[in-house]
Amino acid sequence: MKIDNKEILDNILEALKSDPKLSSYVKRISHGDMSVSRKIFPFIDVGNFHIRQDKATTGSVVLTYMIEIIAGTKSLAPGVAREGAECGGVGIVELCDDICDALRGRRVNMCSSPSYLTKSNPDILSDKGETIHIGQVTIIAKLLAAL
Amino acid sequence: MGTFSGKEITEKVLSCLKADAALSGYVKKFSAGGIDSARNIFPFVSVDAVENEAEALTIGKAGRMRNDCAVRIYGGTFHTLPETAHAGDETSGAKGILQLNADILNAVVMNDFGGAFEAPVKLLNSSTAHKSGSGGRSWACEVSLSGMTATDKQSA
Repeated sequence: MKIDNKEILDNILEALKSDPKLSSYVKRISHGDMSVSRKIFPFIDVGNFHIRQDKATTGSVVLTYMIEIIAGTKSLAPGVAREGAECGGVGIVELCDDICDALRGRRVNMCSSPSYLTKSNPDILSDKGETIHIGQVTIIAKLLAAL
Repeated sequence: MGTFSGKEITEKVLSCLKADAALSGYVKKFSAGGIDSARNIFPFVSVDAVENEAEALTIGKAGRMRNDCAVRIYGGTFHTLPETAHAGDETSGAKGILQLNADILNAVVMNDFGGAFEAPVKLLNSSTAHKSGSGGRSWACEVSLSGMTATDKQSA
């Protein structure tokens, strides 16, 4: 089996897009687009891949993938971009939770172990008036690659 | 020191990358040394920063030494569409940083580079990141490898 990052990306995007809760309010699920100024809020973007080799046997390696997913919300009302509002506005805290729910335990590849969450940080970045909040979810998946 | 010099190891790693069928199909520039993106033609692969480390395996004088060598390989892609720079485009055949990173890994992981290393190298880390300020139009990856180059005798 060859290392195929694109297949893993496609599986993550598929999991996020097919999640009923996320698809009900997230306006754009993309990858690689790191410009917040071009975003339509709320958004999810799959970004950086970090890979390390955990152990090796003759002819095979275990690769540990850490995949960073960023998300963003925007609201002009104070506090809503972070905490959400009861009338339907979803905040970054809830968005990060929903991303975790959609990905936790999913296999990102046929040969991978179920992915688990390492970090969900809803406070990566916010603008001065706290109208925009950016959060980050990092998932880990271990993958056996026979070379 | 090991059997091969840092320059020779760099050349062997570079030759291995150049000989890889997947990489040679679309990478425009293979080089050794700098990764200054202003001078690069995308997609590019660059082998850089050979670092040597020697460790005494025995306490006594004139014992055995273990020589390790770490190599970093950088790759870069650029496209005006951030999603293409990140994951490529199947229609146009353009490759993104995820494919470039995977192709570099497929070429180098568990490789001894024609005997430059005594055993297959270990992947220390592989990361992708967008270039700050590019909004995702320019992506880079870094693959760090380490392996044992030789064991030899310490000088008495």
